[in-house]
Amino acid sequence: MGTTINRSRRLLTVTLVAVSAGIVGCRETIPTSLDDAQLPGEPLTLEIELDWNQFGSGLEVFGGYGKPQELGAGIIAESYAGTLSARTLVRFAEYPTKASVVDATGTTREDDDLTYIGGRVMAWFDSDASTNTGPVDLVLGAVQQEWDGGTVNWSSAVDSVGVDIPWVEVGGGPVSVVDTATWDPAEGDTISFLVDSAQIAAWGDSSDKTRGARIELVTPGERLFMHAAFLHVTTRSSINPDTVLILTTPADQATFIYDHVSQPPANGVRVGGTPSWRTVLDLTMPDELTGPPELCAAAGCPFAISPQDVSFAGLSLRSRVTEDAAFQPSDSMRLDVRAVLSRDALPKSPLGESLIQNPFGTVIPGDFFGLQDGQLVEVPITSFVRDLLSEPEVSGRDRPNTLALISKAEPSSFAFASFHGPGSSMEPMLKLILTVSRPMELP
Amino acid sequence: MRSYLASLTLALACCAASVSGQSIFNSAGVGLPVEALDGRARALGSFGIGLPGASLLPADPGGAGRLLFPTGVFSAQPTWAEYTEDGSSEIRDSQGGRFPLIGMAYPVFGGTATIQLTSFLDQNFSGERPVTVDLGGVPAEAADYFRQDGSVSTILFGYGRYILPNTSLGLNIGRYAGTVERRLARDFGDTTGSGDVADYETRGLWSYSGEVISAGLSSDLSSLIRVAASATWSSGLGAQATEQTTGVNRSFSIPLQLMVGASVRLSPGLIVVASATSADWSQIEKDLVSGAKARATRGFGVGLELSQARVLGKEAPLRVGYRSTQLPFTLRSGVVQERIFSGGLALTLNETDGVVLATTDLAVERGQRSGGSITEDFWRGTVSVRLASF
Repeated sequence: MGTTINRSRRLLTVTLVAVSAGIVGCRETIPTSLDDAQLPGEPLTLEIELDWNQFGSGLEVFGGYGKPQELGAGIIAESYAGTLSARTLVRFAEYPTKASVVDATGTTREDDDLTYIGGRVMAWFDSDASTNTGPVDLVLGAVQQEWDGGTVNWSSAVDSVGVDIPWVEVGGGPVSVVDTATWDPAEGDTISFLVDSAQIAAWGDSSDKTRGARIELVTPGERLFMHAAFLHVTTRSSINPDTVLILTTPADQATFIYDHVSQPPANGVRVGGTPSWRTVLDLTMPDELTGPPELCAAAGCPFAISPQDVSFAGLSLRSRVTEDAAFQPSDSMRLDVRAVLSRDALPKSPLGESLIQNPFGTVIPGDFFGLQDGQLVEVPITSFVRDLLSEPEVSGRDRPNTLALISKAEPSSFAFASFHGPGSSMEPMLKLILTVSRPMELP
Repeated sequence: MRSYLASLTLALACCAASVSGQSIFNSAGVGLPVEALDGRARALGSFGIGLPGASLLPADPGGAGRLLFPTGVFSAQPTWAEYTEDGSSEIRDSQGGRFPLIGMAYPVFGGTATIQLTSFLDQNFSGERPVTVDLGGVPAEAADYFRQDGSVSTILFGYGRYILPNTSLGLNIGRYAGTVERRLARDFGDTTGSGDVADYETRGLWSYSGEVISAGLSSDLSSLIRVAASATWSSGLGAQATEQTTGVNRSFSIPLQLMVGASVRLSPGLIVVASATSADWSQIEKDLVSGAKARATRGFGVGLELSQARVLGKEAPLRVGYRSTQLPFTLRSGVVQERIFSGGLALTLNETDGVVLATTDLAVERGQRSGGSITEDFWRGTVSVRLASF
């Protein structure tokens, strides 16, 4: 009897558990309405633009972010736009001291007694970012004076705190000429300079602080962008003297110096360059909107904007011809925008994360700053505007209302981007895409 | 005993689980009425009133007075539905589960006290529509997505007892409960090409309240015939908007619902049951700002039970039924008619000294709802477990 009851209880338990699990575990598919009549009314999505004086203030341009060495490239120019000369300095790393060589018996052995008998400096250019379309002449020289890659500039070989050692001759000179070469973009992106054994030996002394190569442009009126330079050292093996090896030595330090420093614009927006420029501006969102009529019809006016109403916010900038032609972009520019976390700490304020979802930032064709003056560039700042419209933080701190327009990396280009500033006919504007609806109601 | 409690606890916990809607007609008016029935009533095509034996169903308050032992009942109900529109070859489907009835009864003061958690309205549905938005004079494609998650249930406290040797009277008093959330989102895709356009969303959340009272009488006219009737009155269904909801509070008139039922024992192993219901939902139409239409509804159901059938040597009553009823809310226009053929059986899980202490009732229904230009075919299963004297 007891066994029967226990068996029945077990059966009941299993039934309950199975039924419950079965119902809950069933795949759920919610019915989908066949027409729109059961759905709430359509929200209205519309675009509005706010003039600068409706949202912007406090526009300032700051410079000096980053160093030429951090660009990771070389700039070479001669009287470009009549004002700019630039030279690239390279200090090569220590030479390789070992190589694998096949001896007379056919066995591969490591040779650590190499003889350096000459070499070539290879320079790799970016033809898109360089201004020349025809051949240009370049000179490779050996620097004769101690210099510091992190602080060197046109007039000083070393310019660190408390130490200023000027060049004997401004522009990184004098140098002893090593070789000359011609770069014709139609024939390729790379040129080579021949280096004799004596210069190879000199550059092989890693304790020599004057060690370095200077590449300068002879042809006037051009500006070249050099990706990299490296040294091919030609060596003879001690194991098999008939074997000549070419070993590659990368640049240990590479930087550039130039003789024209641009001044910040009196009225305008500037971003990029080396060192980089930043433009900061304050945003104040209007408490309420009184138009346009379709907004008032859909949601009533005055309309108080709430964060969720903002589907998109973008800073609308108009490109302008670079005011200093020497720094006019010849390649695309990459723009970023971040919140300034402490306005009072400018120009050294920390910045927030990028507001642009595209990892490459807002990419702008270089032509926008030349022939195509006045082109519209939209920088998305949706999350920033939504935050600005949100309630204050729990801590009571105000949310940042200052934006910094910067280049995607600082520095990322020698040239900088210029835009029309407040007060001009093409001043910055704030584009808003708003989506509004009547209150959600029950049927 | 512990096993029973564990099972019941699990079952109650499952009730809190998220479940989807069961019909496209959930989107009509304030939802689709979902009756709180067990497997036996479903199999017999009944509205849950006037059934033979003892039962614990909210439609039959008087029947609770017949319960001699402490009793619990739990019902689960999966549904698979397909619906289509006239002239369209597209067939859509939905499926989901419900726990329409959980009840407990305990003999006290010469009668039986009850507590029941029951379903009342199912409101889950979704919808989407493509839209073209004008962005500075440039048309851009976007899409609106709508979803409504909600249901109305009732919690009822009742008491029933014999007022005559063959007649019992019952009364249930309770409240509506539940919530409904409505969310509308607009997805812009990559309208600007920058990936920086944020989706728009607006939502509202309401909680339901309201009082409901039902009274019923169940009488055995003879040893062969039982009749029962009940009436359910409601103060109205209130929907209270939460603080963050921009929409307003609402109130919906819920009509008086009348039910009658009877069962007749035609022979020792053959019982026929019948029931009918009526409610005038048209009064709620003035409360619907969406312009949805509501109608008076009537329905009837008939069924047959072979009570002495046996399966695997044990008594396992077999049941068949048919019911036809109208739904109160329409999609577009016309009357929505629901017709169901049903069948099922009962399995005795525990019988001690000739007293059935635990049974499970299984029902399978094949039905169709049609109204306006929409037709929905569905399969619905019901599994209920009834425990006594635990």
